[in-house]
Amino acid sequence: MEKLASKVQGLELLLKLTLELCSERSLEKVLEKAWAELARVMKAERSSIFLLDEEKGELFSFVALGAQEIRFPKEKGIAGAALTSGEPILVADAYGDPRFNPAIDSATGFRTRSMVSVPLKVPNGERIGVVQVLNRKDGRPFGKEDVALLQALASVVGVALHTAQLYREQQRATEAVIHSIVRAVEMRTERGIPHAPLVSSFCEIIGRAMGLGEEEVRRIRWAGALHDLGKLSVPDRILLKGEPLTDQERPVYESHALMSGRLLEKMNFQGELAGIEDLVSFHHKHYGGGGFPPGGPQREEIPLGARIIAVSDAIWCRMYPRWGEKPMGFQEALHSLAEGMGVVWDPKVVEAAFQRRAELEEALGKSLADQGKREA
Amino acid sequence: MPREEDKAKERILRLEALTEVSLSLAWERDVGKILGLIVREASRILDGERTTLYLVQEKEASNGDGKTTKTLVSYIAEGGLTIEVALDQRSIAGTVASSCRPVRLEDAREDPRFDPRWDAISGFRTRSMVAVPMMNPWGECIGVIQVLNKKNGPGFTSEDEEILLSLAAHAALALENARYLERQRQTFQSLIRGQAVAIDARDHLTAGHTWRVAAYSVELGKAMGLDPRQLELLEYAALLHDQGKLGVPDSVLFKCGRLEGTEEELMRVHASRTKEILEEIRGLLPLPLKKMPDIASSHHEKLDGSGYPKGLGGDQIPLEARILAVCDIFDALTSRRPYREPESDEGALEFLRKEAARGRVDSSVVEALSGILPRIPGLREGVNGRLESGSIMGSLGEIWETARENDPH
Repeated sequence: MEKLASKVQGLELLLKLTLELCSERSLEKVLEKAWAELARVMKAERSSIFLLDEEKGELFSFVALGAQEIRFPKEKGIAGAALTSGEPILVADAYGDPRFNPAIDSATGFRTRSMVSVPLKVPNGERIGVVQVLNRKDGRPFGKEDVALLQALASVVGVALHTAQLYREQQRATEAVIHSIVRAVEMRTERGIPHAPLVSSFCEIIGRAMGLGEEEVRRIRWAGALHDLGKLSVPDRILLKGEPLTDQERPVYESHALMSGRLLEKMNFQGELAGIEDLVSFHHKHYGGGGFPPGGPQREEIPLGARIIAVSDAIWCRMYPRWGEKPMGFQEALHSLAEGMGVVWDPKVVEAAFQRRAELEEALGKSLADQGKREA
Repeated sequence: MPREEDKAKERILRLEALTEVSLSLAWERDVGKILGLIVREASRILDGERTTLYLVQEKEASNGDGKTTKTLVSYIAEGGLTIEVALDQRSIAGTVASSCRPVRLEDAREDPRFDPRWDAISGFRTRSMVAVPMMNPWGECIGVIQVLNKKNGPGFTSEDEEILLSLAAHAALALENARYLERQRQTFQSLIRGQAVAIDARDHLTAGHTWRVAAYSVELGKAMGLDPRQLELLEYAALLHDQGKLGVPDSVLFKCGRLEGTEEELMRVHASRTKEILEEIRGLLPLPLKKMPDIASSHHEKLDGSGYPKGLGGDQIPLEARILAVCDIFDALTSRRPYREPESDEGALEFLRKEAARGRVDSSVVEALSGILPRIPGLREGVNGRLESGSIMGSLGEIWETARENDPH
């Protein structure tokens, strides 16, 4: 009877774990939760999750789950053996097993005694990685029941991870196409410093600082990347003039913000990108109602994304002025926004930017370094 | 004691079945299949005769004020009828969805909320019933699962209800996840299709070229027996093949009249730009799409090695790129240019046959094109119709022309 009761408990736990892991949409969160649950349920001192990098033929651990990423060829060690054979491996004394790779212990300072390794198999037969639990907390070596339990847990973890990987793949593919569009458009205007990619990073940092949700941050980041798309209809001789524009030239240049919005509208985006034209059309609209286009929304009626793009864009434009003005440093550019708070800029957005200035500056440094690499 | 043991064993059997189903649900990516799975498994695990699934749907109000109301629409009621009920206490499903609480009845026909018309229409005779809400992880009810007529007993038990509630939670999560994944796919697809509008906006003399080349390539790929994954890859590569135009300077793009001596050189610039940009994104692409940059940027390569940007030849050029190359030339020839009338489809095919004979394009691709030639006008009109109905070129061209007129040369 006791055995039956613990069996019921085990099954109920699996059902609960499925709900918990599969309701997370970011790969990192699934990994974190699975990692903690594996050690807890298995009463182990530690657990590890290695994912398969098919392209490189390597197993790797996730940065969030330990100090640093561990990578090794997918056949190596006991984890590699479990992946290759597709079968669980129970090892009572790790150091007595010739397949054991002590390099990981020496890197982490942990001393492995007994371990169970189970391949992460998903229902179509694909193997996407390996889970391991190390050292039973009660000091005894792991047994056959432990292997069975870990196999059951691994089937849940595998499906949850595979699902999160699919979301991630789709999002990165979207990211890739946005990046290529932006890079192509910027080839005409580029003066060594990428503009839209950096504005996009700024938008993300500020959006997070303002406590927006994952999806909203993603939308604003993507809108930030595409905010200057309309420049592709501004002639080179205006776009690349490099000195103040004449009164005739200025409206042509300024039409780009609205043009970006019109273009994005015509692109008829769906899903998470649906409606981002509203964020883009008003990125040169002032908080107090000025700016362009004239008329239209003001203050909180302006989409928050547009207000965030406006501030992100302004920091960049003051650092790398287009029409021959004196360039500012990052800190100077940021501080210069204080003047327009409430009139030109949404004060809440500027405050968020101030609060995260270290992160913004770091993103700037990274973008410059990337550009350096590209040019080299 | 043995009775209790039997009960525990039965519970284990059901939990095992539920665990298995919960994994199948979590693994399934297709909304339709998830719905089928729920209906089938609910009847099986609960030992019921029939299961009806209702989904909460947002509907726009008929007075057109843009506000939406929620209703319950039956997804599967065997007998093929669709039932729509309001989210209120007037029906059993409505009660469950609006209160987020289960309802269990030994004889449903005695309940005033039961609508006997459904039995009358379907010929089914409802007796016992258990109906539970499908709660998503965020505490919202997204549907109702209703199981009818317990097979071996007077009605459903509280254990049945508990098991069904658990199944409903897994079902709701699977449905939400499949919809979320679909949303991510939609985002990507609409982006890659939509970005062609930007290419058209930069060079509106060739408006629709990208979409037409994509449509022709997919049709040609199908005729040549490519599998769905290859076709998807081909379509995306076709949609990106001219992306480099976005970055080509005005002086190159708007050179009046036929490009002459420097044509090759200018086009080389465009092709190598496309390649440069697309190579940067390779790292972000999922494994099945890794070849996309190569295909998109090798559409000017020739089989005899005389093409660009790399001068690849023969087998070095992927089949998808050879298809794309033929469709690119075909559309360029059959489209109007300011300096010439469009070539007929047959004339363009003749030209491509000569190119194939000279060893420059793949003759098997050209022959496949001749096979689908009757379908080309339909594909062309499909794209051009979309351009006009969205008046994409109209409004873009207008803004664009204004920008240029205002431009003091």
